[in-house]
Amino acid sequence: MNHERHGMERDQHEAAPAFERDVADVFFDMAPSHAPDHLLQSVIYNASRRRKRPRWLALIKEPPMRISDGVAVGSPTARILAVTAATLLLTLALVGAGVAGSRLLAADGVIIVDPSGDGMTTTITEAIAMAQDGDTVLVRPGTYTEALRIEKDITLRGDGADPSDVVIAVPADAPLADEEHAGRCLMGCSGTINGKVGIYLVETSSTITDLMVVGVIDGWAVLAVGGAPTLEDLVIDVGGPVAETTLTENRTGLQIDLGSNAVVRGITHEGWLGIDRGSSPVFEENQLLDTCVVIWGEGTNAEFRNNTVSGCPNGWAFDIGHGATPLIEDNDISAGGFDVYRGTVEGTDPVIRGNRIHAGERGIDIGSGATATIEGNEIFDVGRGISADQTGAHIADNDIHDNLTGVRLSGGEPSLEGNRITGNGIGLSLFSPGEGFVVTANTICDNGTNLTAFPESLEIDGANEVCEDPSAG
Amino acid sequence: MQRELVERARSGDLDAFSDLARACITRLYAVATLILRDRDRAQDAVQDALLHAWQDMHALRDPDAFDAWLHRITVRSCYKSARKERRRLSVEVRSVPDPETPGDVDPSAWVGDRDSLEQAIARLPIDQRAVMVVHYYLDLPLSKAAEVLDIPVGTAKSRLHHGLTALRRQMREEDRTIPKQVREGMT
Repeated sequence: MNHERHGMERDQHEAAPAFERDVADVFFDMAPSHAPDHLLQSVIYNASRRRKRPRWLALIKEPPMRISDGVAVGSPTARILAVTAATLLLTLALVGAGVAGSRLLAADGVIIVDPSGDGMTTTITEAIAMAQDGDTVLVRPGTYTEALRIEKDITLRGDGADPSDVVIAVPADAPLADEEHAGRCLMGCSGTINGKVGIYLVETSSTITDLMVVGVIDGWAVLAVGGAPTLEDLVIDVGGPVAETTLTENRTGLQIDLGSNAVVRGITHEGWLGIDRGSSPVFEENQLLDTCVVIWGEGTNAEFRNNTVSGCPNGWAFDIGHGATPLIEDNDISAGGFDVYRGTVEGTDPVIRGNRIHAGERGIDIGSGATATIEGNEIFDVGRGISADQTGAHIADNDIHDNLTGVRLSGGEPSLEGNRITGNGIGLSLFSPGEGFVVTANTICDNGTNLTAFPESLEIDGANEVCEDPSAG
Repeated sequence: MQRELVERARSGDLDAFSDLARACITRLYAVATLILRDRDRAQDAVQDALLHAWQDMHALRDPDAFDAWLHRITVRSCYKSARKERRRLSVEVRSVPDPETPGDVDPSAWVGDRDSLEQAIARLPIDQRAVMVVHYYLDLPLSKAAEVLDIPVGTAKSRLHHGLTALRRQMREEDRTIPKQVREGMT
């Protein structure tokens, strides 16, 4: 009960109808009577680490000067020094204002952008120009038609109750990316292309949070090159992906490129999403809806955990190639799974673990020249659960059920171990695997046809449980 | 007294901020717990809110508006936590039935209207519950509650109306659902 604290307020509800009084009483009864001690301790500890006290405050709390120091407070000397110091400060302030007046407004570390004019600026661009490393640009609700470029380490935060309260509408005439940042064409074209950029994060560790970015442009709504920015609680909506993107119809929402180690958490994204050229971003707990994810390039070690990915119209949700080695773990992936292939360089080798992959044409396809570790996934309601073609993929402990085909191994020397393959039209299809292939300790039962093999003389070891086909009975 | 602390905290005085946090943390924790219905997540939300407040103290133009400003940040932090929870649930536990959905009626579970009302409040959408928490628990008039929630007054009124209507409806339905012998035992 927390009535003591709010006793007076509670009385005010006496005038309310009886039912509302009951509701108010229940709230008071449900409310905890005190916060845990460790909560306050944790807040104070973390606050002390987040911002130091300004130096001037520490100075005025130092012990007062003594007479023996040669200057006494209140003495003519002290007054002269005080007047001199004040004059000097005023002069510096005026000069500073003349040179960079707006910067003075940002001296406290928070620059407020308000479209009504009730802030320090009305445009985010101007606020970013005023900001220094460590500053926060706080953007009041509204729609801002601006293209932004951030090369400092700042926090850009929307000040609404929801990210959609602060909208950055990327203008059609947004500037092109720098030539050295031009990206690889994601699909439907080839080579390196350049495009326009909505929010351009260049070698920055900035945090961008609580905003919505919209607009279909010929390029990227958000492009991070290098650095380690944090993108949190954003909505990036460029109208979903097209079947095949081209330079003139490139609905790329977010692109992480050129060695960027971005952290992307809690965003809602629609459109193409590209990760390329040695980038190692971490994606956690995002809603990637109507999104096609492309992960390319040697040294690209993206990590995806606990995301929802769905709605790519191209038959896959993740396109992984050109030497990329991402970790895709514990995600819910629907309406298209994985297309894993070699591409222009060897070394494509993702780890795909613990995901729930369902609905769509395919679960996981591994093509010639690529390999993969596929462990502990549940794959169901797709056309082909896992297909490994001319590869050495390691496929273990997956639950593959209720697909048209469970697993198809064609050529190469894959290992299939400890999987449960049930309820599929065809359980396991073996087509001329290489001599070193391993199929062991799997359960292959209750499929329309449990096992097909070519050549028919092909045998798998006795450690598998392969049930008789229903038709054989 | 609070105004002085707020002004000192705005200047970067961590001791002053600590005093402010100490004075309000129970109230904020109660608000977050009532909105989120989860004490662990409420702790995270309060910590997040207070740290944002500390970092953005300069954005507070009127020291006398500190309480309202802090309530607003806390409610926003609760919404953020709820959004994250929805995302997590959509990934991890989609097959787990809602534990708050009544299943077979267990007579021992019915201990009175108060508990039923508590459960009905817990089932409200967070938007409606938040209006009620700010209006009833913090005892703010709807015009002020709307400011804390960062919504128009009309929206606050609408959410409160719909919330109360939903509660009344649920209470009536539960009354019909309670087995006769239990209902008789309650009277």
